[in-house]
Amino acid sequence: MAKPETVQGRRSAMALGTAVFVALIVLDAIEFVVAQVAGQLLLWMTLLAIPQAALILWFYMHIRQLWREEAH
Amino acid sequence: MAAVTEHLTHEHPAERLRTNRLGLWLFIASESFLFAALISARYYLLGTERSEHLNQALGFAISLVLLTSSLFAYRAETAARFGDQRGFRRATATTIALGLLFMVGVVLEWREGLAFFPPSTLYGSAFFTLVGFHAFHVFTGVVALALLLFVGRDGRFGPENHWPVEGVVKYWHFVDVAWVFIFPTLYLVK
Amino acid sequence: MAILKGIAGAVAGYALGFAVVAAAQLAMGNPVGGAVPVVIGSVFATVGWLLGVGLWRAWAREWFGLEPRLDVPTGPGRYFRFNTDHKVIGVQYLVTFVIVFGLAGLLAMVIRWELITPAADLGGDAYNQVMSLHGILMVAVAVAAVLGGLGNYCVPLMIGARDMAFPRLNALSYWLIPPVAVLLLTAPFVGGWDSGWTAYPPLSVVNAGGQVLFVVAIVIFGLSSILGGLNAIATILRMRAPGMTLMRMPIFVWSVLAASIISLLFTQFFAASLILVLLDRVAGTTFFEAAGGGNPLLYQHLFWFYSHPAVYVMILPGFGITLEVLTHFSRKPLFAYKGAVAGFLGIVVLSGIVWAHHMFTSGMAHFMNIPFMALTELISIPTGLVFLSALGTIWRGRLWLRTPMLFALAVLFNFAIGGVTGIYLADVATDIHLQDTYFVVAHFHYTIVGGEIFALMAGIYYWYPKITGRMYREGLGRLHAVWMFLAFQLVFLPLFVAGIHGMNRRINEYVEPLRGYNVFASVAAFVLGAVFLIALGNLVWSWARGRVAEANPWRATTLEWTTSSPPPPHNFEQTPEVVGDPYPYGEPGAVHVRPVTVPTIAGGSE
Ligand code: HEM
Ligand SMILES: [Cu+2]
Repeated sequence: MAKPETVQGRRSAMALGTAVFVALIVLDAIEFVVAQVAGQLLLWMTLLAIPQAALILWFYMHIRQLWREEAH
Repeated sequence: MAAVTEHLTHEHPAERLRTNRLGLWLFIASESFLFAALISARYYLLGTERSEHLNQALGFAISLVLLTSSLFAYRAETAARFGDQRGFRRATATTIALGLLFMVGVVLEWREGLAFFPPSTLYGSAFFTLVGFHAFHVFTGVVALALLLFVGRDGRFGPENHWPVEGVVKYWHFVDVAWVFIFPTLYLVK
Repeated sequence: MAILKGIAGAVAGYALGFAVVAAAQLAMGNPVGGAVPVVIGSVFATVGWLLGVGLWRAWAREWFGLEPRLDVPTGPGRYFRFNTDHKVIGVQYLVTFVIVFGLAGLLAMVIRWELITPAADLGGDAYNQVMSLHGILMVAVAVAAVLGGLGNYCVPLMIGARDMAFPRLNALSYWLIPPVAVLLLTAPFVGGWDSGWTAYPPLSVVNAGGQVLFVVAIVIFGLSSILGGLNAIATILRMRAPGMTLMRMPIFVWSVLAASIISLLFTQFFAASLILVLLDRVAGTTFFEAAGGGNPLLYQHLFWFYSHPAVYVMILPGFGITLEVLTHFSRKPLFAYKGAVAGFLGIVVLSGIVWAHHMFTSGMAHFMNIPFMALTELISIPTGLVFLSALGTIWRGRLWLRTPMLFALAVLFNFAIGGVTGIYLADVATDIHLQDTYFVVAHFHYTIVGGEIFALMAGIYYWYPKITGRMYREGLGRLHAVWMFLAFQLVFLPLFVAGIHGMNRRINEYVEPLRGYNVFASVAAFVLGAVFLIALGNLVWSWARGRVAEANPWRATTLEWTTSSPPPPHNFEQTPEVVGDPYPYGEPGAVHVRPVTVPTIAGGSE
């Protein structure tokens, strides 16, 4: 993660948040569309839900902090 | 928050932060077992059967609302970490508003659902229980966010003191993660 | 005072919860009453109780931006309030659950009294209620006494910590227990419940109103054990003294870690299954009602997905105490320490994938029988590792047969019987005959009482001087051990045979040919019950009047014995530094802790 306490660091953190958000929305939309057209939905839905959960866990919840020391 | 516990456990503040984080993650792990139990109950009883009367569009809309709220929760936490009080307050308030909007959506679709698949049907049992449990978590999250906003009005959350914000926001994201699985489970699979 | 405030909070909470629901019922034009206001009232009452008893002062004020007030009380009063000291909380748990154990023991005497004759001396309904209350109270003891009591007291001391990772959460976990007790004990006044500790639907959906209180009580109890497990894990992972690597931890600490992982995660399934029962009762859902398309087997899956692992929540810390005592009283390093740790962790993993061995006769799909049989029997591998460690430790040791050691040896014997009989229950072919008979009853009493409760006794005697600062009477302690061991065999061995001959469990009458076993078991049970009077007398009297104990009466090597008995509020005069393995017996020059000067007279915790 970028250095804290700097304007630059804050900007890039916010930009990262927005990028993740866009990815989430896109995945969710794909999920919704696939559900209208495809079969075998349990498989597809799982495959599409896992990356969404992973994005949130990794970028929004900073799960890395559990095993990696960081300043904050 | 940390001060009392640090005093009791003789930990350095940075160490305490890590301990707090571990504790919260353990709680989240535990809660995910709760949702796992309810989701597996749905599949056990119904397989992938789904009611024809579900309002999928409404479900999709509230999903988007919840995902958006996670973005603002993230912004609130980041702002607090960088000492930006105004940003923190604005983003927190927005998160709360989106959380409330989500709950309004839930109420709307419960009203529709009650007519077509009341709780006395098998699908209704699974649907209302799962959504109800989740909505209760959203509700507790909204309360916690509101307390943050109230307590933080004096600008106490900043680079040196952001654990309360971080903790609540992590919980909020977790509630979102749970929804990421509940949404397809109830609305999409077939 | 704190308790009075708690009670006031509980009353206010109940009134508020009840009123809110009643108002809603009125507004919707429904009749006021039924189970819902009671449920919500009980939940609010629990919150009110917690806030009143100290949660508000010590913690919740902070959530509103106020300064929390944390006082450190001394004297006997410190046991009666929201106290964050893990040693106080450990004693609170122990004393509470010894009382619950006594109460549930009395109910056991009632059960055995009823079963002396084949006739129904007690009505069927009354019998079922007694049996159910006995069962759930004992399960609560088995889940919480060792972990909440000895785990809380000893783990921070054994890893050189000042307190648990979350001291206030620790107090919260304890103070959730009194509402559980109140709810369970008021249930008999609203019709009780007759579905055993397992609460299977469809019965639990249609029986008397006491079932509702049972559900609320167990969900609260589950919350307490989840939070307790969370705290223990965080403590063990984060609060260890310098040099205390994971592989230098005393084996008891490992067992608490393993059991806590199970409590943290799996307990949610018990809560979920009971909440679904509640919803079926009060919200008109149809999870378990076949007529509405539901399936009662769902309950059994959810329930056993927790409750099988729960038996390891009970026995793992029991194993931990047993190994701990065996190594100190054999004066040998623990044999195959790594094997025992691997055994614990292996058990944690396997315990999550064997639950359906409780369902071979329940009508689940047949294809599941063989996999679950095979998986269940795999558990003998990690369990075997633990036994290997135990036997290797006492092998050619210089056994010091003091009270804790006698109990620990008894655990080995009893658990061998409990484990071996488990194999017949895990085999589908034999289980179809044995399911729901006294064979099962004898099996789980051998594992839980013979294993865990004997280990709890070992632990209580072993740490008694540390906790109380005084020594119990050794002669009476040994008498307790030998008496309890013999009487226990006499009660439960015949019950295996009665079960093989078809004696059903949860039944208050039986056929004449089974009378002999039952008379024998009942008489033995009264003899077994009597020994606890002696034990209690010894432990209570010694606490007040016993000989003052030294800091380390057993000359044991682990950290808790390097501080005074009882330890000072902050546990250690200076932070200990760990430099070696926990049990360096017979290894010249090897030590666990870098030596510091220790006060050898009882410091008292005041
Ligand atoms: C060592 C390996 C073990 C095996 C293979 C085993 C196997 C089984 C099986 C198959 C049953 C179901 C019996 C039936 O209802 O027909 C059972 C019941 C039970 N076991 Fe074990 N078990 C083992 C260890 C334990 C331990 C360690 C405990 C507790 C500390 C325990 C406690 C229980 C309880 C409480 C029940 C009865 C639950 C009820 O129906 O109310 N078992 N065991
Ligand atoms: Cu089992």
